[in-house]
Amino acid sequence: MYTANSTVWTAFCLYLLITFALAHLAHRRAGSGNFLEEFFVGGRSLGSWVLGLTWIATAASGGTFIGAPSLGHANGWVVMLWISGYIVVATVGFGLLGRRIAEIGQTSSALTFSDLLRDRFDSRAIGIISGIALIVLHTSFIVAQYIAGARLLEVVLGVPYAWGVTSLALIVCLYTAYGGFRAVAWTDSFQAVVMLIGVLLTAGFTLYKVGGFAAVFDGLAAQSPELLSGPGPDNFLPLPAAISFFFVWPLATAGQPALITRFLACRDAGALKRASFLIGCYILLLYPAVIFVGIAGRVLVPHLAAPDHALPATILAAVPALPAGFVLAAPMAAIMSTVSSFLLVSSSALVRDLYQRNTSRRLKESATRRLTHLATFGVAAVAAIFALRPPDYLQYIVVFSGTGLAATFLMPTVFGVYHPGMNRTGCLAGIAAGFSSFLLQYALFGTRSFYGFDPFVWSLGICAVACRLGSRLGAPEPKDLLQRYFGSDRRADSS
Amino acid sequence: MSNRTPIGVRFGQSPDYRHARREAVAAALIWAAALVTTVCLSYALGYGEPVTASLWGIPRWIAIGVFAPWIVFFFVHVWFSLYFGRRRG
Repeated sequence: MYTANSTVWTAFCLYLLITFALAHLAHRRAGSGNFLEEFFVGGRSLGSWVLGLTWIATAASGGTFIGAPSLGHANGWVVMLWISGYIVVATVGFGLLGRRIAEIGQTSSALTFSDLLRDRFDSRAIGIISGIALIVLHTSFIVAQYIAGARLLEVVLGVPYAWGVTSLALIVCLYTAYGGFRAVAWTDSFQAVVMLIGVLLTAGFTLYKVGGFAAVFDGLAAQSPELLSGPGPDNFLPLPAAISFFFVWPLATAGQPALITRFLACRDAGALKRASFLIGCYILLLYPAVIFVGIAGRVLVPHLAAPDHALPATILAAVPALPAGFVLAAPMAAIMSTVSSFLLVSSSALVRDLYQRNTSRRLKESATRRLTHLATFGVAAVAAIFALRPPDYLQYIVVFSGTGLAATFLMPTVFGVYHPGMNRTGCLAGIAAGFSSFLLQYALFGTRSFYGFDPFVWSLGICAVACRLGSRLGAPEPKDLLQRYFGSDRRADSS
Repeated sequence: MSNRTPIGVRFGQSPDYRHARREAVAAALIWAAALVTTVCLSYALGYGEPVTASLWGIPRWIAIGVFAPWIVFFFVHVWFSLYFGRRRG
């Protein structure tokens, strides 16, 4: 069916070689200060380019490159409306929390997302709950990425599935444990460039091969007129779903703990602004192109062996052998960059949120280093074992770790950093309400809840109400804590 | 959003905090504008009737309902990321 030649192998190996070289360079550049601060937030020294590229590389997962083109292939042009929430992902992702989290990161000792919540509300329970949630859900997401990556290697390079999972787990784990956050950020940056060039090349070659936009239009019209209009085949995107995805993409991205952690590593506000600009340009080029590959692929390769083969099949059909290897590295880059970031968040939750901050025992730096490496390998191994025999309920956990995590933590985080009246009772109430309402809706109605809206939309509202009600019921946080986060009016203070 | 808690103390006076909050409010407004523009235009032009009109080979409703707002809000984002709150920053 789809065949790859030695050129594809060579290009792919070259891509891996560059990834490891960057991880090595990052390791050598690591500062000699606090090990955990260096390993988990890169010494808080990320500049605009690396910050922007690592942010988008983490946000774009295997789903962007495997799932999204497949939807384009199956449903036609309406998928452009489905993805259109990405118009404001950079604005919302950086504008809503970026500046505030970066400022808190510069003045506090927070190294992880859970640290951030725990310190703001001075609550060990919040730190532990969020730490456990991050470990479970991010590890599940890593499992899904391993599966996507191994299937891609199977289709394109003919690597047996089990070997694909094992090698992918080992490769990503090695450079993540070796170089920590800095290596992840640097390799993410390289992978983001590979992703963008790969997608643009694929879109260009596909457009050329099909014969232009008009040929795509005519080809789709000949197959089914529904591929050209809304809501698409089988009522793919009714109005409430279209509105929902304008909530899902920008807000679920903004609420991802792995992305919020990026802001803690930011050098200053200027770097943040420039990174935000960079991401806006990147998204404008990447997302329409990746969906277009799927849509045009429907004309070029109308029948696929499996729905998820839209991108690799189109690449192998449209792109000449020489650049095909490089282009095929793009989806692998998306998968690897997401895995490395989530691996780091999970290991940081284990070492920092669950162990270090809940024990009075002081570890030597060498012991902390060993423990961190062990946690990274442990999470990678557990995820690989699950990927070799995926559990039946995995898909539910994956959906939850995408939008459910944001439904649970976005509102408590937003209220926590912007509203002095938000207290630990409000935070716990918000987490409980967001988590349970999303889970319940998803179990009862799937992806279309009341009035056809996504469960995420309702959960966000329920979570916000719970945060406010809980805050009214609980005692206010101590004055000195609020003063530290928000500053206070001295005249009022003295009175 | 009340900034008076505990009783008698007015919090939220740090300039950094106020700048960040202003930025968050602006981001939320841009998001709402993009949502209304894109979904309304796309629904009005692309839903219900079979699509026959195209603009340079792209269905007209996608060109006007999705790509045009994308370009407009890209420039809004450029302004937001490079100029909004720069003097205060």
